[in-house]
Amino acid sequence: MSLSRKNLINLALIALIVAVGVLTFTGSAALGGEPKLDINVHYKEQIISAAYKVYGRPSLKFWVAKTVLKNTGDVPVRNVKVSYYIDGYTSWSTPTEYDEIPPGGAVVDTYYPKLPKKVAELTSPVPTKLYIKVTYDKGGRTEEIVQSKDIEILGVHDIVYSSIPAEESLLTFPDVFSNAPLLAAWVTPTDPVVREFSDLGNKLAGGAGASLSDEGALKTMQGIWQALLIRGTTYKTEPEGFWTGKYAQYVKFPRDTILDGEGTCIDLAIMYASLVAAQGLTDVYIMLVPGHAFPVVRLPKSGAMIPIETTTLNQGATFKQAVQTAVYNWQQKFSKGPYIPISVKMWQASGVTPPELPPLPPDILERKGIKQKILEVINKLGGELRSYSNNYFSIRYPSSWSEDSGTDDEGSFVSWTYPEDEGMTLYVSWTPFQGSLSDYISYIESLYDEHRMGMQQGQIGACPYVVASYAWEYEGQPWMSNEIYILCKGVGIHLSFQAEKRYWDDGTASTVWERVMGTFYPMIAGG
Amino acid sequence: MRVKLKLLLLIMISLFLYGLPQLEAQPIALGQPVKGIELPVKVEMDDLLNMTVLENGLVKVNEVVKATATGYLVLKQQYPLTFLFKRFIEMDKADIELENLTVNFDDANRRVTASYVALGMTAKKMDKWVFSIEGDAKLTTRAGNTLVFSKTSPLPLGGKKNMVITVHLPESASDVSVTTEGGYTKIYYRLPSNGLSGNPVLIGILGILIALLVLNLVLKEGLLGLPKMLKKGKS
Repeated sequence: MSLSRKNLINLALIALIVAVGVLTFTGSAALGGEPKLDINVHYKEQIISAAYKVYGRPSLKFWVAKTVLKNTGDVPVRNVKVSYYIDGYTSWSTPTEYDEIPPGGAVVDTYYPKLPKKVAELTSPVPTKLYIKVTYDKGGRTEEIVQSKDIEILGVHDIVYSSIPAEESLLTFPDVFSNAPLLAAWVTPTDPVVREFSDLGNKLAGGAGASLSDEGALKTMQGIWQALLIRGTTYKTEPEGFWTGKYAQYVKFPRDTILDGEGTCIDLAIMYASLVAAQGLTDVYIMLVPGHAFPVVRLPKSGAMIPIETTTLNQGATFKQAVQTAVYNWQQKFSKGPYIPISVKMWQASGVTPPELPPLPPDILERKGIKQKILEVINKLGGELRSYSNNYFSIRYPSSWSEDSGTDDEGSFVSWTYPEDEGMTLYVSWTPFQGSLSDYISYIESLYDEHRMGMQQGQIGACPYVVASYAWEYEGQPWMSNEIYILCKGVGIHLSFQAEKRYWDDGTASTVWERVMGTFYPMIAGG
Repeated sequence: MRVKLKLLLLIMISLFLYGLPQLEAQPIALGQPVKGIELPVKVEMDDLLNMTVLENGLVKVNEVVKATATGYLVLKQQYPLTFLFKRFIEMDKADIELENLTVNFDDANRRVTASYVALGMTAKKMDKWVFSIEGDAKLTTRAGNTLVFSKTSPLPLGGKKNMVITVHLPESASDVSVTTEGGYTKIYYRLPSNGLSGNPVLIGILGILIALLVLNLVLKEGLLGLPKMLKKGKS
């Protein structure tokens, strides 16, 4: 059977149409229409394993790789597929497909791998490779391009503050700390060690409801501060180059700082933020400023932002002093320069969540002697406070302390003494007094052989008052006291809280003082 | 009144007395009232984006960031120079690629203007294009191929950014639809097939061949009969 000429022509035309069609739609090198694809891969040289979950959450934009594919040719590039693989940690990702990139067009493909939990078990950086595979149609066949990049998976305590390549970095504060939000992954309020320590702090504060009121929040913050003082937590200066952002830095999880009893400013800030968050004060910030970091807590009702200079733990500062120092530093220095407030609440809600930390023995705080130390102080505090009032003043005192009252050289008095070793005493006297406040103070001071360390004056209504502190020795032991003198309507009131210096040094005395002082009210001042 | 005075007294005494034994070691004076720090917690910014989508999928963007007096001060404090603000924009849009980015400060009007070309906001899937806006943006108005979206994003300290995004699709775009998928607001649209416009010479040849095939099928004797027909017509 032979084909007619017409059919032969048909067949020839169809063959030509198919050939030209293929050339038209796929491009042809022979006719100058070959697809040209420019591939540019941005990638993270270091993966921060403490924040490994972040890389799998596209909304956070912490991609591991970003591939920019540009069509620089004259014909469309078709059937483009991009996939990735991290050697030893992921399998090839499902390819993202782009049906067509027109001439002059581009697509941007990002890689957000679900990294395995095991990366959080790394204790030191591990080198590996990131592979990027791009395929597309070229001249009727599939072109495949595979690139590999050297990357490092960091140890679980390590952070690099910036992932911006050195050649692109402007060396500005935000550039050097572009990874700062990842610090939120170090804040671990649900870690059992953190919770238990935080609960001890709250117990010191008398079991305040932190999230119910500003007052409760401040009490809790103060109790936690006291617990840290009692634990003997200290500030350790950062190693040289810590803040340059160039190298991976070791950052402790709060459990490590609590158990070690020391940390850098960033360690202390993270730990304190975790401890208060564990009591329901979740609106906490890590404030990064050039060369320094400190926590900031937003109070639940007023919304006031309370900064805490956690490095003053070194000096045994009171909570109030830590706050005052932080406020002072902020006003004088940090507010004028660049700063990065890391909202732990916001970033953790967005997915910057802590890794799974290895379980520790449930009695770890006891094994380290930390729990006993704090419980001992709580015991010294005498449990709940009990009220005392007369016509002149009211006050609350530790219920288990021994009470005494009567008259002495100062006049009428009432006192409460720590029963165990009588190393702490709360004493209030009152007496009719004609003369000035300074006369009254001179009279009281003449009764004792003490060295006055400091004094401040003030006025409440028509009543002047003075606060002062003293130091002296008694039976070979150094003692210190905080005292208040008030002269009002012809009555002098003298309040003295005195304790052996060792109780001030270990934080016990200041804890009692801070608890009791807020309850003192000289009723003769009127109202 | 009594309660207030009592409170005042307690506060004052507390402020004065905390930690007196550590007085000498502390740099701050007793009696200094304890206050929180002032942070720009109520900063509000308007972010107006005007986006023109080209037929090849690139997007030309003009962006205007306007802020309250406080907000603008904070912004300028953190990004005092235009190249620093460039980085702010780049970081904010880390999942796409920006080219030809320029930034200008307009202090008198408390605003920053930026322009750039965005790569990666569009992609072609099958025969449709998809333009993606991050987050759940609300379509407020539409006029032809111009769509206006609004969106509010929280700022880290509790303030907010009010975004108005105007998207101009190509004039030739058709079959436009808007959906929300996987944390993105997506605009789907079609463009006239650009496969045929890839190589004009080849398309021309293809057209001629198809015409010849049709002719060959229609004519009784095929194309070879054409000279005869022409001859016949002449006579």
